[in-house]
Amino acid sequence: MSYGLRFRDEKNVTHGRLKVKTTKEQEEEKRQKRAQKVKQYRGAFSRIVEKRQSGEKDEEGLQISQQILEMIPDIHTLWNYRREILLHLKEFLSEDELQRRLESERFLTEACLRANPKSYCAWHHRSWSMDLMPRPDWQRELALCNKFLSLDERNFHCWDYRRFVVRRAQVPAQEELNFTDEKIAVNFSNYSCWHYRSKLLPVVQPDPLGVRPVAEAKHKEELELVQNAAFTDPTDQSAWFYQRWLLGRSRPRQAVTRALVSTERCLAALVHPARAPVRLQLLVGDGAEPLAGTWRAADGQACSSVWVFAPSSPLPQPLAGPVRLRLQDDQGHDVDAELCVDADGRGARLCVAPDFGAPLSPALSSVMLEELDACRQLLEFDPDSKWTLLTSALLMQTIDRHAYEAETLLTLDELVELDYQRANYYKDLKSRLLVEYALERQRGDAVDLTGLALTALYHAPLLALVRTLVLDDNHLRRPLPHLSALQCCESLSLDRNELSSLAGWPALPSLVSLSLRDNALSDVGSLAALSCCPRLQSLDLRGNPLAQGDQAELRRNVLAVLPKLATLNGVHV
Amino acid sequence: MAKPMRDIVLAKDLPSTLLLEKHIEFLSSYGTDKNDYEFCMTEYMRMSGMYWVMTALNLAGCQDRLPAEEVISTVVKCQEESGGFVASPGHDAHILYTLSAVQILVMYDAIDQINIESLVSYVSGLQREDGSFVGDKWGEVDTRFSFCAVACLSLVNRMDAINVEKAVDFVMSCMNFDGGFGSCPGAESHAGQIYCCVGFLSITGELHRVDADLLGWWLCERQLPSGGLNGRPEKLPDVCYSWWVLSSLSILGRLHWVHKGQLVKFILACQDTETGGFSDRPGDMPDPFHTLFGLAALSLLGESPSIKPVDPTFCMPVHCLDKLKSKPQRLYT
Repeated sequence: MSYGLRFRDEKNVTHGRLKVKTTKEQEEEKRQKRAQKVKQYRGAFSRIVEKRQSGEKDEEGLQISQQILEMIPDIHTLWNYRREILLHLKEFLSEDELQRRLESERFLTEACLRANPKSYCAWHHRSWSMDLMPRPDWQRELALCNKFLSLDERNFHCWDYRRFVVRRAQVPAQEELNFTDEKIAVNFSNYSCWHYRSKLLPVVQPDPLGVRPVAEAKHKEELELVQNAAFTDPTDQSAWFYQRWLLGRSRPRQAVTRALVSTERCLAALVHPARAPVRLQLLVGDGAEPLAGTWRAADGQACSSVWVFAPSSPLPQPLAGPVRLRLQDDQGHDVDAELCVDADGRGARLCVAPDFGAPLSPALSSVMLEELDACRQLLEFDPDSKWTLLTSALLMQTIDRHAYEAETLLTLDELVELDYQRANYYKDLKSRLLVEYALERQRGDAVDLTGLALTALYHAPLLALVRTLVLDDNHLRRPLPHLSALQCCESLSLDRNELSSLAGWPALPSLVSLSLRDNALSDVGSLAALSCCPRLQSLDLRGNPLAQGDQAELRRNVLAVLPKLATLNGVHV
Repeated sequence: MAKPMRDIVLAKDLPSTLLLEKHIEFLSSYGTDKNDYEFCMTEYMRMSGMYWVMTALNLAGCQDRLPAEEVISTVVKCQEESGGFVASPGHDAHILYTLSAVQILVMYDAIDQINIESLVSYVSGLQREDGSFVGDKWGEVDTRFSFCAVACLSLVNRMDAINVEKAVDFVMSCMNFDGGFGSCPGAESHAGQIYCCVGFLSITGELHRVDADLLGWWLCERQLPSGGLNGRPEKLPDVCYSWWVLSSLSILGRLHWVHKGQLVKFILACQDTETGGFSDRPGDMPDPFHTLFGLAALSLLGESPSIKPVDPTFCMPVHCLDKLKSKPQRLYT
């Protein structure tokens, strides 16, 4: 894989080598030079192989390997041989001698890195030999990092080596933070530096409340710093990515959001997917033991948000006493959810109001309002700054998603026009928000998501209890295996979307009626994917390419793959 | 003041159609001249070189251009007693070349010709207490090696040989503020490393631990006005990132977040009309590495019917993965 998976962003052996036209003589001269090098390499390498085979671990081995490594620093075998020799020498050299010996490894790796600053092997050998050194001078290593980073402030190998040195020398995080201050003051556009800050700040100034990445006072200061950077050059990505992190909301806690317990079906939908075997228990009655039975993922995956329970013996009827679900989260904490038992005691359900926005402390929201205000000022000067627009949309979502609903959506529409390379990203983001708004308003058995221009279907697990779902007049076109969440859905309508295939269609145990009118389905054979919906009786395919032509033939072909169908295109079959 | 964005401008006369026949010739000639300078100087990663060439030819439907028996026997001979593979004789085994060897053998349906038990013990022996993997006994730790390990084991259906939970925890400890991943805890996000970690999580079935919208956004922001993709912010575009970025987006179900037409145009512009093959950017020297990733990216983009479908996790033709017991996970939007 990439150089056996070696990643480089710019110049090296096979990256960024310009193809140049040369004269015959130049070519011949180059050919001879190269032939010479090949000969030299082969001679030296075969000598090394010989020496290793006969177990020689000596100065000569170091010399020969050095000659090749100065030419090609990525031959790991040669570094390995050097390490074998060095470990051998360590056994009988005095401490001073070993120190001197390892100092020369320092010189060699530095020479190699000057020629090829992105050599994985040379950087690794440097850290290996520094760890073997009796008296390592870490301050000098830090100085080397400074030097290399002044030549290329984005060399991630050097940043990684720096972090290694910092650990060994126990440099306080605050000092490293000061270093990033200096680097950013020189050049805002240093993504590597912002990245490093994201690691250092939570260590130096942790938030005691755990809701922000850093303590509140520092958070405000940091937002000002990054805003200053972003506004200095609004086209520079680094600051905007960092700002998004600072503004980010914490991940919601794991919980059960939807649950149903009935003789026909028991299921639970979770905020976050959980891994099989899922640690979920169903308890019926006071002080009851968990019911025996098995949980399986609705989508058949090892990790899933929707779980279906098959009890080993029939559920007690009527359900006596409280009905609870107990979920153990990743940290091993129990999360209990109590279901609401129906009046007749035959079933119980849970439908938690979704939490799409995390609460903010008042102090923080005032900072956000200032940020939003600053974005608006910037947009007055430069209305086409996509980063400013996107940030303002995210700020509005974070500050008050309801008050700014219309404005957020309009901003995303603007971004679709402005940044057309990423139009689909903004459309999906808007689809996500639209589904969130809709699900806050509709919480019954039927959900209508008609005409929202949806390009993606987010939050499917929140639809786990819905019996009727209408998704007409949207732009859905990709496979929809995530509809597997619709375990209770009896009627599903996807009229006037852009589906061209039903590949990956999930097993929907309750589905009776499916309408797919006016899509782009062209292959009758692909309808076989629907055979995993055992109760499906009615299918409407009118207005699809596959439904054009002879209707009797269509009926025959459809029934051949879906023999249990009772109604096709509104006609009894 | 605003600095100009780092990008290139595509000249008008660059190729805009796929020169598949030329690429097949270019790939088939790999290693025919054993004294070729480039060939000789890349001996230390020969196994990966062979993997790039085989996979590219296979995607082009021309696997038979190379003598199968010879390829298989060359690869089989590179397995050491430890179970690991060397890149070429005289070199030391490494997880990078072990994966390349396993990939080649799976493509030729010849994995049974090696000692699978010793391969499994070699790979599992590289796992450390904290779940991470070293590349060989010399202790370099990198999430690339975590990917190589689970890819190898998954290809021989032996994921049971390692502590998957700890391996996942280590990879997750390399996640960053931008949703991406670096080589080790604390290291900066990089599209190549992201491919390794997202690929790793798809093999281990733990993709839900990624913030797919955040990471997908970072990945689609790799697309530059030229249509090409870079590997990190403020870097130049390069054909190989068409693969690292696109395969990650594809696994996350968000491939459509980049502009397909413009990316196809950039990739096609990196073809060498004289010799065949793709280079990193238009006008540079072509090589098998960029040729594979150019073709593989075009396959994912689905715009070139003459290229076979590629699996975004393993970077191998989909039809070669039929025998896999557990398929890598995918997300959907």
